[in-house]
Amino acid sequence: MNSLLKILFYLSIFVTISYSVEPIKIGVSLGLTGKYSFMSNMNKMAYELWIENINNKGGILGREVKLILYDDNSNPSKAKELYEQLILKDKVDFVFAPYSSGITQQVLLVTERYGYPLLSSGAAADILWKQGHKYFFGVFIPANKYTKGFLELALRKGLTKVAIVSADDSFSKSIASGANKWAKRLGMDVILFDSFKKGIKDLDYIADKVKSLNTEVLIVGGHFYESIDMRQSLKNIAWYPKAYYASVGPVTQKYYDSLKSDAELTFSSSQWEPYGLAPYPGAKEFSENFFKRYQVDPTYHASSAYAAGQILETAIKKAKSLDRNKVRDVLSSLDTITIMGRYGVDNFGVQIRHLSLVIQWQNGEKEVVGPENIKTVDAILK
Amino acid sequence: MKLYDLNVFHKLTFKIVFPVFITMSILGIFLYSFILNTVTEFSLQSIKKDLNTASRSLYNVVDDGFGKLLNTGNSLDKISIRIQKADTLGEIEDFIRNVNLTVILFESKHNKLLLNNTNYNLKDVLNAKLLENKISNLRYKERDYYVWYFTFEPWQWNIVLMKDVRDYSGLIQRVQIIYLATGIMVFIISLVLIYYLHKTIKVPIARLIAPIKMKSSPNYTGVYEFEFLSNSIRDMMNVIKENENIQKRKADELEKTIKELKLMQTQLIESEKMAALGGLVAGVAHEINTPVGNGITGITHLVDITASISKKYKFDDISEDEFEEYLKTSSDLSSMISINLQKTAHLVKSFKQVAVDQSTEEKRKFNLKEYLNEVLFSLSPITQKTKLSIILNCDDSLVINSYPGAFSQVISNLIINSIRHGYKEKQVGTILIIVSKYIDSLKITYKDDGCGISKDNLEKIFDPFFTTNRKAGGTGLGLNIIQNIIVKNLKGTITCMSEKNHGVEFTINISEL
Repeated sequence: MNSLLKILFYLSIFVTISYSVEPIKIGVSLGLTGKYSFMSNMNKMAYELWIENINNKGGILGREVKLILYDDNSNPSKAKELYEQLILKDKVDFVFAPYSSGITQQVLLVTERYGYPLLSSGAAADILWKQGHKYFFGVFIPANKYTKGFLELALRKGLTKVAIVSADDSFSKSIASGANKWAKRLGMDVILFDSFKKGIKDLDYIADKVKSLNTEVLIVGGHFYESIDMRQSLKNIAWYPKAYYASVGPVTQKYYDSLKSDAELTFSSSQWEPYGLAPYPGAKEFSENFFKRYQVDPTYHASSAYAAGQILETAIKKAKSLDRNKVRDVLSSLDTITIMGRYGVDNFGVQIRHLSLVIQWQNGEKEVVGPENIKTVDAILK
Repeated sequence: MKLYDLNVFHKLTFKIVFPVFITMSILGIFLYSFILNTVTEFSLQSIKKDLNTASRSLYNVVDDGFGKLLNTGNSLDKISIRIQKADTLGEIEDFIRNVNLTVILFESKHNKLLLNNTNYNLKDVLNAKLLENKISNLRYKERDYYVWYFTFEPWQWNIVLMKDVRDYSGLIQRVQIIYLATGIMVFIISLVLIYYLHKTIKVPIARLIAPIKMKSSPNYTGVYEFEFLSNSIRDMMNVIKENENIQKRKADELEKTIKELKLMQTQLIESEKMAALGGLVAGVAHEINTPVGNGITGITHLVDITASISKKYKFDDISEDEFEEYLKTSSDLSSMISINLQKTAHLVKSFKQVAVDQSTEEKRKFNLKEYLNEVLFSLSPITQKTKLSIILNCDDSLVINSYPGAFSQVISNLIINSIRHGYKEKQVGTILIIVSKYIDSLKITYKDDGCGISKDNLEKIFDPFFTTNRKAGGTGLGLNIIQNIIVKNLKGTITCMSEKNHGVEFTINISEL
């Protein structure tokens, strides 16, 4: 009994000492409401899961990790203000990235000014890495490489006539210009390269144009709603290309839930897929824990947020310090594996080691159809 | 106005700061050129090295891509080749972005551009005829590039790596900015230095100079060296003031002495005149003494013989022979007395005339020869004691309107000087006085054949108080008086020529007659 009391006594001292240290504060603002709410909520859930897991393991450098989270309503200006608040008022030690390239571009103005490293778990527009930022690192490949795997697959299937359209935001344009570049490099014919104003719901006129050009492959650069809207327009004109690709939207369950059978055969690029479809350590457990906690399967938006936490944890531990400049230096040369895959950036902070997947909805399931050596099923053309 | 005349160039501050500024500027320009050249050279070497290294790495990237095809057995699969080539192009793109290079990649088979991240046209590249596996220079749109060109034969890829020479312009610009900043700093330091010098040197010196300009002593306190200088100048100025007072006092004393000397000189001249006159009087008295003595003797003898004859006559004791003897004797005595009295009268008359002329100095017309003869006569008491012959050569009828006393004094003094200084006692000699009349002037040449005057003394003979015979009572004023009389009274000139043992020759020229 005495021994038990002694143990309890020492434990109480240990706990007191542990909690007497200030927690590591990590701030983030996400579009929990507004147009990016689905992807942002995926981010939020992953961050919270990571916080719980890391604190269960004793925190980082022996300190508890605390998340300070705000909703920016998917508004870039508000997000910028919130990050200033996080840094200046809340005095957070580190920040996580917001969702979308447009918002990230605004937030970078703040984080770069105050020297806060930012792991881009929700933005991939190429422009972000062409502005000389010093504290900005990609978690997954940049937008210009999204379509590369899909185009290779299409070429292997004998398709060569490609139409590329996109919304006019920076991320969507990056997708389109990347697709154009890779299609040409693969010797394919780009028969249409066009854009439309973001927010336009009726894309029938583009669908008509694509149809009239005898297009074999249609690539749509955009977020969730563009992928839905274009599919709807194709249905409206009662025509479907041999391969329809849309960025972002089709990787979510919501895409299928919204379109039901019309979602069938849609291609997309995924930076990650759950349940070990992307064969990286911890990915399966993450998927299970995520579902267990939130009763929803994680998308790559969730895994990238979780991976950002893992990368930050590794960098802080390697730097053995919360000094943001030291952590930044580690991040610029770090080579590590997360649930997302391999992390490694070039001189400009562009992610170069991550591998992108090609997915396709087949029979109500999101299947991995590329790369060739890890595909779950063969791709099907119409 | 010339630039150098500007006041600022003469300022102390400028003279101190300017050399420092010039030295710093020259040093700065030299260093600037040196460092700029070094940086430029360094950048060029770096560019060449970068290109060489990059080309090797890039070759490996392409080779890896080709290797993957071979290793997977897809080297004949056209689709796989296209995909692998696209992958490789992507890798090349990533690589060159990270090494900050520009690349042009084209297929030589179709001259087809595969990758080009510059505006450079394929046509331009083909025309440039680049050297393979070597550094070349390429100029495009006024920009200079260093270029490394190599080929990957399996795919017939031609790869041109380009490095903009200006990529190091940032470094050069930094050097320039540093120099600009340094230049501004040097300029500011110069200003501070000028201000500092102004405060520490210029102001103290101004405080030293200002009172000196006002002719008062500086009283600076502050910097030790200037304080020392101030004290030294003050001491020096005090000494100078003291010396000025002493000099002033001495000058006053000198002036007073000169006045006294002039007075004394006047008195001496008067004394000399009186002495000459006194000599004349003594001579004349001596001369008169003989005839007067003879007269007294004669008259006494006449009185005696007359008393004797009268007594005899009273007593009628006189013979005819005795009476005739008395008559003859008395007649001789009377004659003798008469001659002596006339002689005395002549002497008195001559003396009176010379004496009056010497004292009155009135201008009048007179016969020069007659007057000079009277002067010579008046000197006869002196001249007769010598064995000197005095010859006067002058026109008998020469009458001039002048100051006879002046002539008397000049000739008297010259003769007395010759007797005193030119001849030994009883030495035979000749004094020659030649008077020549010209239209408007008169020339008197006075010569003796005495011992002459040494060359050293000759130039001093007219100086007052110069004498070679002071022990014998010479005053040294004789010739000075003569010169003064000739120059001031007669408005003439007197010169002297002489050689030792060859006598003297005075030439007197008088123009106002």
